[in-house]
Parts: sequence; structure tokens; C-alpha cells
Amino acid sequence: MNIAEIEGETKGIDVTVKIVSLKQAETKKSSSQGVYYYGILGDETGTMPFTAWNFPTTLRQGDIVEIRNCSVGKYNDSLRIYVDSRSEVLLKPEAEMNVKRVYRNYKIKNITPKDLYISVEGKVSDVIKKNYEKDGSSREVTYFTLSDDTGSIRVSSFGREIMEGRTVKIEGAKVSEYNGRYRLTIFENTPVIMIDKAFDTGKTYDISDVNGPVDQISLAGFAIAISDRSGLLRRCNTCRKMLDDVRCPDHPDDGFFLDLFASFILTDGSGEMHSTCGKAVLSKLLSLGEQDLDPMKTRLTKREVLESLKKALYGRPFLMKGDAVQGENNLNYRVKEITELDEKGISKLLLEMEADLA
Amino acid sequence: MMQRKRETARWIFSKELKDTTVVEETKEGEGRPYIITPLGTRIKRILLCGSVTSRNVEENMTRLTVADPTGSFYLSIFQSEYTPEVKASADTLENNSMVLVYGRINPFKTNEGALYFSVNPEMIIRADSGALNYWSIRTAHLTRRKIYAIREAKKNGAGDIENLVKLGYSRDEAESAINSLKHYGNYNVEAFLEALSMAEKSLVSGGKNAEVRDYILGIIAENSSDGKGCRYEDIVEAASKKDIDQSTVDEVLNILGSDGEIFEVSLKRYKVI
Repeated sequence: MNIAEIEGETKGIDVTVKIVSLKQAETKKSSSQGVYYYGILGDETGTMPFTAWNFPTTLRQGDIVEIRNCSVGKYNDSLRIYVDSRSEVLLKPEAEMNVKRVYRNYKIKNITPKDLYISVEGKVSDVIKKNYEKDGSSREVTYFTLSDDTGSIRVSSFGREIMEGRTVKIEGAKVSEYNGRYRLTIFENTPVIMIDKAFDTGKTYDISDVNGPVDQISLAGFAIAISDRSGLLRRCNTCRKMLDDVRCPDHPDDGFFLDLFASFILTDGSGEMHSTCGKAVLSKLLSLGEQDLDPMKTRLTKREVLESLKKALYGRPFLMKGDAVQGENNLNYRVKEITELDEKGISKLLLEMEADLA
Repeated sequence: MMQRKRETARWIFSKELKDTTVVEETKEGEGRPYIITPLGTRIKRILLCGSVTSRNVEENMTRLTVADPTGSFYLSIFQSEYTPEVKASADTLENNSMVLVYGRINPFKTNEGALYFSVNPEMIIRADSGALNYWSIRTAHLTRRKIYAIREAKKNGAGDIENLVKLGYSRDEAESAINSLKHYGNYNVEAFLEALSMAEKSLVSGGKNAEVRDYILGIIAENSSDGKGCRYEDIVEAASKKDIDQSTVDEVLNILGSDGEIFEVSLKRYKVI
């Protein structure tokens, strides 16, 4: 059987495939410990993700294997080949195979590194070009933001020209995670196709819909549980670490600057999300100028700023825009814009909610 | 060290809490029990918004009744050495003050077996009509989605979480629908929908009240420049030209007073603050 012929969940099939990608992970059970393998298998007709509970440890990416008596099941709504103790995996060292790559289409909000290569559509913005050194020669990398109607993601393009403002479909973008955010990487040979499509990027999401890192997403709700750590902070001029005192333990002579920070819970009835925002948002919200944050001139105290912050944030509905970033235990929402919801804003949300029920 | 998961505050109308009859049993040391509402919401903590309709302040405890568009929540705020600010906030409220509250649900059973719920606030914040409007619209939307999920689950016998998720409901909504069928098979969700529609109608008229409120505030501002304040009779006369009756004027003047927008300079004379 070839990959294209697999149409649904099935058992006891034999396939001859190339290992397109191969990763190892540990099973997380309190009673036992072990490893399993996962990745992508492919043949001339297509590709499919796989999970192998039993797999020869000598196999490598690029090997061609015949897998007997494997099964096909569904995981996260997509078909997956499962290899277990009843399956037999035979290496075919002499065989050659050109794999036809097919990638699953993802909305940006749903991208996950569990699917390593994906297909995605969106509008290009914030294009920045930078040079880097490799093998003694200077090369160019282009960074840009790709946005669809569900969110945005940063993309690094190595050797692929990208135009600001274009709407594109990228086939085979590589997904990775860096500092709690998902990123895409494309290369010289990655197909990037111009498409004619408009995306409504202004949708406000339910917190319960945000299950992984995504940039530039709008959420609305009330701020509750503002942390007492919020307000006016001192940071070291050199390492930017938050200081309890006026001196940094590592750079005692380097002085400090004043910064603004807020940590709170955003609630919208569908869920809650830990949220933070910094000086750019808060100085506007609290109408504070540079002079208020000048350590030599300011008369503000930490307590006063915290009280003003509570007064400004509590008891009012807000529309926020920011990035959902994976923290140590849960997602953090880094708020970049904050607007109080007036009657017009509430009416717009009501229309979105009515459309959702239709 | 494993981080303890924060208990999410759910947004529900007072009717959903009032109609609840299921309290999960807890083992010793487990703290407060979860309750399961007729729409299947499994909760310990709540976020509510409404206006204060009655208050009883004592040294050790303050009781508040807070009305939302479907009924009332009953709040008990105890004097606590850990969170003295909560009772202090509650004690400054007046009737008609609008509040946003999050707190824990406290079930109690009478000797006759009747089940009641009060809310022990962990935070009480003064809110405005915009906050109440947003909370009510949003809560109505979430409630409607839960009811639609229950309807779908009913079509499918006992219902199936995965099927509901495929239909576009969140896992939480799907689990609520199954909970509802399990614990409240005969609950009349259609009657709840009717109550919701009534609540939404009252919100629309509440929107009109916001226009009336702005209009009356404008009349007072225009007619109080002499320092003596705007006469009540002048407000009623100007309002009648806009088809606003006297009882509405009285109601709006009370709200403006309790919101701190106006004050009564002398008997029946008002000034904008």
C-alpha cells in the first residue's frame, strides 16, 4: 500500500517508505520509563506523520524501510502511522525513493512544532534584511511577519526573496520554538506562491481558543488580580535586571533606570490568561511622561503608581492586542496595545459574537 | 515544585446559580466543593457584575445583594486580617453602586434541605454601566453557547464530547453539555433562553438609559452656571420635551448621584461634579 491509498483508520497494513524526519521522545508515565520515536514517513505519493513505540535504534533519517503490520489511527484530527511491537521494520539499504512532499495547511493560531513542516498562508509585513557570515562569506537573511485572520508569526527566510505587503502561500515552512514563541523558517527552495486573498486580521478571540504561542492576537475582558510586583520598577542600567534596592548586586556602580510593569490575569468568561505589559503601554494608560520616569526628577512612589494602575485597569472592559508566549507553566499574554472598550467597541464585539452563533 | 493551578472564575448569570441543585461531595481537606449548574458549568469561583440593591454592614460581616439582568447574587464579606481591603471596599458601596466582583461560591443547606448559594468576594471593584453592559452581553453569549451545546448533545442521546468539539464547541462547553444532561436531564433550557432574551431586552433599554443619563447630565451642566445648581423642575421640563417621563428622571438622578457625577447643592437643585 502507498501513502496516497491510505484514506482512513486501518490495521495490519504494509508500507515501504522513506524516513523523512525522525525524532525521539520519552514516555511520561509514573509507573514506567521509556522512549518512542516520531516523525514523517513518505513515498512517491505523499507523506504521513508516524509514531513508533518499537523502532530499531540503528535507523536514521533518509533510510528506506519496509514496515509490516502497522496501523493507521487519528491524532489531532490527522491520520498517523503507528508502529508497535506487533510490527516488523526492515531496512532496504539498496532502495531509492523520491518522496512527494505534502504539507498540512495550518491557520497561524493552530501551528504546532508537532508538525515540523507545514503549509501556511498570510500577508507579509515588517520585512527586515540582515547579513550574517557563513563559511567565510556574507549571506542575507530576511525576517518578516506573516499574518492571517487568526494571528501572526515571525518568519526567517534564508535565500528566498520576500516582498512587503504581498499575500503568499508557503509550502514546507519549518516550525520551531524559540523563547516560548513559534517561528517559521524557509529556504531557497521552499515554494512561496503569490495568492490573491484578503485576511480579516481584526478578530477578537476567546481565551479558551488560544492553545499555543501566537503573535498579534486580540483578546477582550477584565483585568483582575493585579500583582503587587506591578507598578514602578528599578532596573540596572547594564543588565536590566529588576532591583530590590538602588544598587545591582552584579553592577553596583552602574546606576538604575525607572521602568513600568504590570502583571495581571485577563478574564473573558471562556478562560483566564496571565498577562503582562510594559512601559510603552502603561505610560500611555497612566499618562506618564519621560520626566515622571526620570530617577532624578520624579516624585512618584511605587505605591502611588500601583494604586493608579489598579484604578486604571480594574472594573473596566478592555480590548488588548499582544503576543501569547509559552512560559514555564502556561501561556503568557504580552500586551502591546490596550484600549478601553467603549459602547462602539462593545457593539463591534457583540456583532462578532452574533456571527459566531449564526 | 508543581505549581497549583489557579481556579478559573466563570461568568454566569444569577439565574444559573440560583437554579443549581448539584454540589459535588468533597473529602476532608479538599476545601470548598465544586458545584454543577443546570447548564453543566463546574465551578468554585465566579466573576459577576451588577448593581447593589441592598446592603447590611456590620462590624464583622457585610451582606450585599447584587442584581444582574436575570436576578440577584447574595454576597457575604467577612472581616479578614488577610484581605481587609475587601470588606473596606464593600463598606463604601451604596445602593445602586455598580460592582465587578470575583469570589468563591459558598453553598449551604437549610435544615429543610433547601440549597442556597452565597458568594464570598476576593475582590470588589466599583464598575460603570460600560462594564455591566459588556459583562452582560458576554455572559449572555457564553450562556447561549452552552445551551446550544446542550441542544446538540440531546439530539445525540447522551451526547459525545468529541462530536460537540467537531461541531465547533470548546472542550469546556462540550463537557458542560454532557454534565448538564447527566445531572439535569429534565432542566428546561428553553425557559432559560427566554429569560436570556428578556435580560437582553432590558440591556437594550439600559442602553437607552445611558442616552437619557447623558442628556440629563447635559441639562444640569448647562443650567448650573449661576452656582445655585439646576432646578429639578427645569430638568423635568427639559426631559419631557424628549419624551422622558418624571419617574425616569428620578431614577437617572439617583444613579448620577450614587455614581458621583452630580450632587444636590440644596433641596432639589443639582450641580455636575
